[in-house]
Amino acid sequence: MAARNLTINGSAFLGGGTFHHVTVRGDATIRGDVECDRCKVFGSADMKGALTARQLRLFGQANIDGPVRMEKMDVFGEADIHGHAHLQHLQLRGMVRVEGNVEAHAIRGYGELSVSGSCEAEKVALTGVVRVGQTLNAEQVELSLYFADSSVKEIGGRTISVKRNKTWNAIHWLTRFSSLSATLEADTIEGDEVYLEYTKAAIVRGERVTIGPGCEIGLVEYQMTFAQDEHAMVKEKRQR
Amino acid sequence: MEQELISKKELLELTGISYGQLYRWKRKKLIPEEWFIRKSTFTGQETFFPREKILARIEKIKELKDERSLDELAAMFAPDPATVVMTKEEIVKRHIVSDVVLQLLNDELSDRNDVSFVQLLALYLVDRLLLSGEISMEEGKTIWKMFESHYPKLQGKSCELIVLRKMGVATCFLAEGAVNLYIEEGAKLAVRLHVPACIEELKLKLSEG
Repeated sequence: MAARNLTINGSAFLGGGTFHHVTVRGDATIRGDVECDRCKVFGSADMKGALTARQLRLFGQANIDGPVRMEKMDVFGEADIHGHAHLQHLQLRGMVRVEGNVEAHAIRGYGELSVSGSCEAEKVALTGVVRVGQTLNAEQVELSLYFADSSVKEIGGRTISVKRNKTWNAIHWLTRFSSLSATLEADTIEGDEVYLEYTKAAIVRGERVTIGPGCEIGLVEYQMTFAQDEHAMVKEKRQR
Repeated sequence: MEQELISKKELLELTGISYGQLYRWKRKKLIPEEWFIRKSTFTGQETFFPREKILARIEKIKELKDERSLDELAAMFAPDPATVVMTKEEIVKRHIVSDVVLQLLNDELSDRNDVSFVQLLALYLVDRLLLSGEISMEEGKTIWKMFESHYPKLQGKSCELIVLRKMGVATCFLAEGAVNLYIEEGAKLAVRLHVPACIEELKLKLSEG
């Protein structure tokens, strides 16, 4: 990798390239692909092209028109990605929106993650809102519902746990007459071990299934064990 | 192409694997995305798979998963051939193809000692067909020439090797993707080989040695 650094203080409009460090303090519009070891954005970056980096730390806002490939991505703020994202680690404090698919090793943090395609990872541990257009596929899924409604078309994995955040439960008691809610809506949820709270799903399949409070499930198919909270609604259940 | 499908539920019952395993193998690219066929049924969306392909694949994964890592398996199943270069001696020593084929095609290879993956694949295909008695030596040469000149154009896409024979005269060609063949009455379909399946076999052979 070239040892050149790219530093932008203030506002600039420039082309892409290969750099060692890219630092944006202020506002940058970059036209073209960028390849670098470390990329830091304090402020706003608008990238029209692919971004390949070992590490991205984003404080502020970034818009990337193109595929993203990196080892570590820390977002404190907002990132909009139009293209597939290949990541090792995604640390979320804010919002990430991906128009495409996400492939990652681990995704964790607080905030909102929206993926229009499918999202695959070994571990997904998020507090906040998750929206996935296709499949959320992870060895371990731990969702803590908070702030607003989440929706995932299909969840698949080994252990799946969806809970409502405790703090939210307290807030929700205070605002219980408002329309605010933090629920999860899904078509199908399939896993070996499934624990759900405040989830509305058509089909839940698994070896050991526990349906917690606030759930509305159309059909549960389980192999070993099934348990249901008294504040949950399950239309039909079958053991196979 | 019409193919028999199997539902996800039936697949898991039949093979005894769990949802966790199926999703993990999909994540690791052991099962290609195209095999997940989503259809709406009266219970909502259901996922189906091409029956024969998925059953064969899962058997293979189960058989090999204790000896090899999932990443190794994924590399084996990947449609793009590995960048393998071998010498002629190695090929003979490791019994990847028989001596007969190597001698037959030695003239074609003569100027170079190392053999690329595409060449190796062609050798392997010809060897396999000769051993099963489906083609003659002469036809083997023709297939070799055709394969070597045309296969790179497919750039790793799925294809079938087809040999037709009419009144003792054979012709061979590669067909990209899955096609239906409608053949005149006097001609006989001598060979129809799914090349990606052969690549898998070959890779397995390579990784064993």
